[in-house]
Amino acid sequence: MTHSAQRARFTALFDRHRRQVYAYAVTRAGRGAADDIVNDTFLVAWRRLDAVPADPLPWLLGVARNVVHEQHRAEARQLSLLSQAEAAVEGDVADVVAERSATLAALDALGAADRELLTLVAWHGLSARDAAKVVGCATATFFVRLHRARNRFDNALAAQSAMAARIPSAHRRSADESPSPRVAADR
Amino acid sequence: MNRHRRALQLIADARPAVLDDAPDGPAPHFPELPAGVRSVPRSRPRLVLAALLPAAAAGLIAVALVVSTSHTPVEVPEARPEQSAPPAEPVTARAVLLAAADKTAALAPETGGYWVTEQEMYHLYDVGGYHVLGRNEVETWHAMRAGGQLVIVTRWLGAAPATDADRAAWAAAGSPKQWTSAGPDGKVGRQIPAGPGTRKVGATTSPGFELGGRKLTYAQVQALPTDPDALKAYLIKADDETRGDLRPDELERWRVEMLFSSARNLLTELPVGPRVRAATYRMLAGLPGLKLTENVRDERGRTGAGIGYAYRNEDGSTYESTLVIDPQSGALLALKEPSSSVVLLDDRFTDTSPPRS
Repeated sequence: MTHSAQRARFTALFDRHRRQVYAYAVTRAGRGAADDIVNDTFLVAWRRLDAVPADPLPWLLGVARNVVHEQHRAEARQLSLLSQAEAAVEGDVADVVAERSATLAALDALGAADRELLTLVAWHGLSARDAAKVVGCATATFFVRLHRARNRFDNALAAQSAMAARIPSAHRRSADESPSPRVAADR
Repeated sequence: MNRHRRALQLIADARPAVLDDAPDGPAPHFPELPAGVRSVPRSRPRLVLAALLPAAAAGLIAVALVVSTSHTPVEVPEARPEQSAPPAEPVTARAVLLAAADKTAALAPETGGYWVTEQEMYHLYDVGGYHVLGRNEVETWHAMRAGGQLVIVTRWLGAAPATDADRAAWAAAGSPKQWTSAGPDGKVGRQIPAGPGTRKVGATTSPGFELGGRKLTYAQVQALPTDPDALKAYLIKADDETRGDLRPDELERWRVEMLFSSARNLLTELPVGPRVRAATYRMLAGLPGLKLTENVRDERGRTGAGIGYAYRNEDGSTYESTLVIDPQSGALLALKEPSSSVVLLDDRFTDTSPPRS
């Protein structure tokens, strides 16, 4: 491949997939590290352009995953999806916010491995087969792990709800006074 | 909708909008590669690829870091006087590891409410024309009970030109006190101040420990095998359960790489007692392909024996990872890789509460 053909192919790859790689990076290590992860991922893609498969997304996310493991382990460990999402929920209706927050808090309570499997499928739109490629296991193994992760998610969500029920928040008090259980997000 | 679909739908509904805030911008313009550098990675993401990436990601020119240490490859094994062994054993990686295992096994096990590690992490940044070595201090507090906290305290300690040549290039550039790490194309990257930063404390629920693809509780970590063969069998079984299929001809090398990586993990990231640490050294001693480098100095100036393993890519290029072991105490001093290193300063159990800020 000539140099210009390589560049053209790389540019197409970048334009087509950078948003997906960015979304994955935020999910794994947060906004602060996402730009670095995207840059490092595509640097690897540039160096290994000949090896990028026809369906590049699982490969790219697999590279991004390695970048996270090797260079952003501390961020990945400390990541709170709930706090990452906080800016985005402003202005939403409170009960929707509460449900989303409970879901994110339950994801945060899981181990990074479970969280990764669940979000690869639910947020990044990967089939189980492609998600298995990202994490480097067989599809059958992936199903088993996803099943276990989902069970732990259910438990974590139940724990979140139990905790939320015990804490009388300002939201709940005002919700009780409203005809319907919705209030403005007044945080 | 079944339970499985419902859980995934709930998660899908909670997808944060910030995931889609990718900044706009053209494709970065990375430089053309020197001939022969481009290589074909293995067909699936795997340990060796993970290990290879930092070299690529750090900006390709990782070699400079090695200059800051005094590697002395051993060509001819020399006899070393050993107090206990009458026929002096040649100094080999195996001999160093077995001696370290004996010293480690003699230590008393510790317990406490928290396992605390103190490390310094060094990373080489390309700042355009030369390299600076950045330094981070990382202290972790792992609660030794289920559902306990993991507290991570980090502080940027500053950065400085990596070698004398880098120092000259830095002086020629007007001795800046702040750098921007560059993609080789000059794309703006991370800000790298020369001076230290503020201390940051983060806390989360302890996610447990990971080994060989398995997630372990502290109790499971304590129950790890203390016999090297049993430990090896445990790791192989865990790996067989969690990785994908491999071609039979790849399996042998894969396992050696997996065992070396797991050993590194056991020695630095898991609160294992002296007996499991000793078993880890003994298991390592049985691996093929280890290279001994004497008098390897870590970034804090401490000297030890380097036990190197070269992860190999299919094109024959290698990525070497080295454990630096203090021959006096058997303690692991540092991990060195081409563009980064981790210096292990302390590792202890305590009943003190972790810092909050």
